[in-house]
Amino acid sequence: MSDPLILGGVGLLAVLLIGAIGVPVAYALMSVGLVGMWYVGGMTFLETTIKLLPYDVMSNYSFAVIPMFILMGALASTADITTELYSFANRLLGRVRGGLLMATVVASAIFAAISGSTIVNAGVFTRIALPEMRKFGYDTGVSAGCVAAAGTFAALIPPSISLVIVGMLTEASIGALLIAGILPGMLTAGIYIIGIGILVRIRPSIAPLKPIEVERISYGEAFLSLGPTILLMFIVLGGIYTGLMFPSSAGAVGAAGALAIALVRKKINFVKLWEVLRSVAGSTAILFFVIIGGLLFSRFLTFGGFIHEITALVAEMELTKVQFLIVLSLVYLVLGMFMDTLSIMLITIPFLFPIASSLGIDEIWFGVLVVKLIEIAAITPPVGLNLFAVMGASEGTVKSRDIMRGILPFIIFEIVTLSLLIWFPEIATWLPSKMIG
Amino acid sequence: MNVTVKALIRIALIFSGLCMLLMLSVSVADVVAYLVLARPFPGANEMVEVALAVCVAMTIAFAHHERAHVRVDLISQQFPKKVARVTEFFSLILAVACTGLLAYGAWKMAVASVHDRETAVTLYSFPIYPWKVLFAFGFTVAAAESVRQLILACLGKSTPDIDTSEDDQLKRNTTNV
Repeated sequence: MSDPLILGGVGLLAVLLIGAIGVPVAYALMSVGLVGMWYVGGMTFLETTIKLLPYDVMSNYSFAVIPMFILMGALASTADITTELYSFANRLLGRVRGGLLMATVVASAIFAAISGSTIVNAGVFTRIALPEMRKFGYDTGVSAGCVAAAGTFAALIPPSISLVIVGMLTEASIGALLIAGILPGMLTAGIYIIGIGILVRIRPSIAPLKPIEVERISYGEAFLSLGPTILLMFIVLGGIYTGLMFPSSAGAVGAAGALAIALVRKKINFVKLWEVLRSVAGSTAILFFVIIGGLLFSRFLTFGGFIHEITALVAEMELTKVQFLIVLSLVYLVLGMFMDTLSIMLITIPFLFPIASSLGIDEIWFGVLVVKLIEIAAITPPVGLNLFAVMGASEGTVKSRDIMRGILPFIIFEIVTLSLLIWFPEIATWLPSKMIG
Repeated sequence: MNVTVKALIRIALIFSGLCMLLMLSVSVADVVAYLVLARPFPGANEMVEVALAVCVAMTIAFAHHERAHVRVDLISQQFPKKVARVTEFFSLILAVACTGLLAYGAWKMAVASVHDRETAVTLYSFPIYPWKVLFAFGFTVAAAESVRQLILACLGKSTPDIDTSEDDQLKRNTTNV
């Protein structure tokens, strides 16, 4: 084994060890990256990097999409549009066996098109959908599992912050990645609905068929109340798709629209707006800080020769694309059991992406697959953060053993979707290829 | 030192919120100008870029103060108290080193920018160097907060959180994107 491989391997191991003892992931990545760069390129290389890299990353116009998407999601939550979404989905599906589970899936998928955070999505629907499902005798574990799993749609359906981070790390087009997430996201929701339909036939006890009182609103009224939200969604996605707006501008327009909805509904005042801005700024800073750590670490791996050597090593193994993607999936499934999604992306993408590129894997396809795996990681026990989000938001009504049992069918649905994405890359790549901008 | 650093964090947060508003309004104005008047808002992209850099740099200290950084605590939460204190101390040393180095790098860049009176290369040219100074200031506050936390840890005091609801909010928004 040559030196760069050992050096890179030691670096990776050091990040994992330092992270495992509870050091924030950003500092684990940064410290190993900085020491590594000093070792590889000396003090001048280190100085130049710390002088230029952080500002270059933080002042990149394309990356302004992150705060704008987080702001849009935060304001949409404040505007309380989720209750209407859920009522509308209930109106459509509430009378079918398992209909409340399906309504949760539909409402979550629509909300995902406004909010980019999986954990916010799961938290919000735990408060709205879970009590409703419990009231009608649905199995608590499966209901909680459904909310947690449907919450992950936000990772794939734009405005997805995960896809933006993949774009930042791989330098792929952020706009194309965001558009690429639409069909796989819809496919996942579709598979969930079909899967729930099958599940409730096999085990009818999880969703008793009781007459459900659905709020008596006409479809017209429902569309009227949902109109501004749907319009917002189309402006943002349409703007990106047609090339009329950069993703960052589309995010800003979306945030302004969500703010307008909140103002019209009298859900926000100046004090609350200031709180939201502070919170969004904090979230953005945390994300950027950890991304800078990831990029410093990535630079160390690149300049240390690790990326070149590992790519050559994988080439020697003569893996096919599918074999590589299966290995990739297994690695992510295992890591997902123990690490949070952001850390997994930042530690693995810097060396997995060059390997994928060397095997001729399309960068958009790779990005979507990674985010799909990240979605699964967010719901695989014991460290499935969406599971924790649901348990936390349920205020003690959902126990860990319930949700860990209830999530299993949804992990199976996710693996079915993942297999389809691996076998049919066009699901991810077709829509971006038709982009106008 | 406690009072000074906390005051600096609050000042930095005000800048950060204002930068967020600036990004939002300039981006929307740019889209409206482009779609309605068929000409983009001059210098919009460059303004958003500098505002983004300052917004992020100014909030890192706050995130550090609130202990909102992403951690993998599956193993560390099982540590006995003494081991946890040692790892926490190690974590704070790394934080001081990293934020200190980043602040050093940021000031080197800012000083060079002030020296050159750097301006944005766009139709509507505006000075960039004050923004770079603010950027460096943000990292300096982050480094100061790291030092403050390390000193408190050395004195055997835990670092109190000013506002835990904010902490929860930050974690909710970020740990799982």
